[in-house]
Amino acid sequence: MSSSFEIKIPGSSPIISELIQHFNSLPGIGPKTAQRLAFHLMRMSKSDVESFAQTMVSVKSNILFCIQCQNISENNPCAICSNPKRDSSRICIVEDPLDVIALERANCYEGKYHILHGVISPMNGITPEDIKIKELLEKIKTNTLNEIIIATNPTVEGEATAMYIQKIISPFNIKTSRLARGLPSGGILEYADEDTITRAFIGREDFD
Amino acid sequence: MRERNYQTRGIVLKSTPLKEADLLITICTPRNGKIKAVAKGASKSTSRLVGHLESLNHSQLTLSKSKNIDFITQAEVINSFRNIKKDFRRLTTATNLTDLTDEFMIEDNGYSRIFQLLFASLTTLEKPQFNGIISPFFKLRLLTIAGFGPNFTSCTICETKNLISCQNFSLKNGGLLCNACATLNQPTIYIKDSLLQTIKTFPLITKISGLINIKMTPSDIEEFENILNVFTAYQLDKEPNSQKFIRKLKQNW
Repeated sequence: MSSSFEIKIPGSSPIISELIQHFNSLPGIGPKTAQRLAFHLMRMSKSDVESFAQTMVSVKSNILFCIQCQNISENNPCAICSNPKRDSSRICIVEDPLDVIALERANCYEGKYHILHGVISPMNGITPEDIKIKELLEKIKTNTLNEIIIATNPTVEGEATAMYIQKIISPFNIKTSRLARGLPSGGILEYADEDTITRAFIGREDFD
Repeated sequence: MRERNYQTRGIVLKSTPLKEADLLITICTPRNGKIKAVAKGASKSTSRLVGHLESLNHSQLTLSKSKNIDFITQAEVINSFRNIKKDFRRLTTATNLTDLTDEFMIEDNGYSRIFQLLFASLTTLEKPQFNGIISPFFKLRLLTIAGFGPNFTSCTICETKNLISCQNFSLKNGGLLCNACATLNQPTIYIKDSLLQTIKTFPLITKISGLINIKMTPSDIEEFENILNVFTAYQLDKEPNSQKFIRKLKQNW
């Protein structure tokens, strides 16, 4: 158990306390929420709880990293990499698997991906060796690519990673692009920062 | 009654994700020292705070006091140091400076000199000509302001000022040792004489504009910075993450 402290609930059995601790070790779940979840599990039917537990175990034992894109998947290569309809000559570099889900939901890209599983972060001491950049270079060397799209987050760390990748892949002479930055849908111009407004102006589009 | 809201400007040192879409922001301010405050919903693309609270930004902030932690209610960027963020080398240097500021600054303690030093250093790093001397200058000044300044003018044991051809720097004693004391004490870092003479002029410079008179070769700057890095890690009892990052990057690439 990785939790740094033990939660003791008066009148509660040790097994329930252990379950609460397990929930509490998950990101974003405090002690009270952990208690609520544990007692909710006890109110669920036995078959539902068994199915839930089995899914959790099988996620850990069956999930692996796709050899091509480094995404988490049940199969190797993953569903996206093994899809013949996807454009193999384009790869989109993202920070983590959740970004692939967001991009797939937008349904605007038909190429393949490469997941870095992190970003270069001087503040947290994360160097290029700590993320999947070596695998990216291997992929670039062994595949014929027409375009590399860098879709790391528009944060300081994301930009640092994008700059670094751009620098190391420049000798390969492949078209490299970065996702545009500008005003978000539902955003308010008055509250936008100067950098976003500048970029929105630079990337302004003609009316069709 | 105590004012619930207050305003300050500050440089964003760090931004850490918190809960679903909140951020915990660490800010270096001129009057309130280091502040940690929560920016609710700031990770969402439509948040009014997004973009204004990016690391390294110099922003005007409105904060609301709460029992445990303050909340950022409004933010407007004054200078985002765009040139630093566009250049990998400048960015890693600037992050090293903000990381050290975070390590040496104490919360809610007015260290206006640290803010002024960080602000002036970032403003210089933003200029078109990259000046490598900024980083060791910043580190030496920061150590001095925080009360850990190394002594380059007299022997830290016998206090003699007669230090001709004494090139021994002691981490434990926080400064130079004369040759007699060096032989009796623990191993020291050797500093070559030409570099030591330049280093001795550094404590006399209190403003970045004074650096214009200092002439140092890139290898001397690196050697001086390495001494300060080892000394900083010794004082903090750990190697700061950004320092580790730069060291690993230099080793591997």
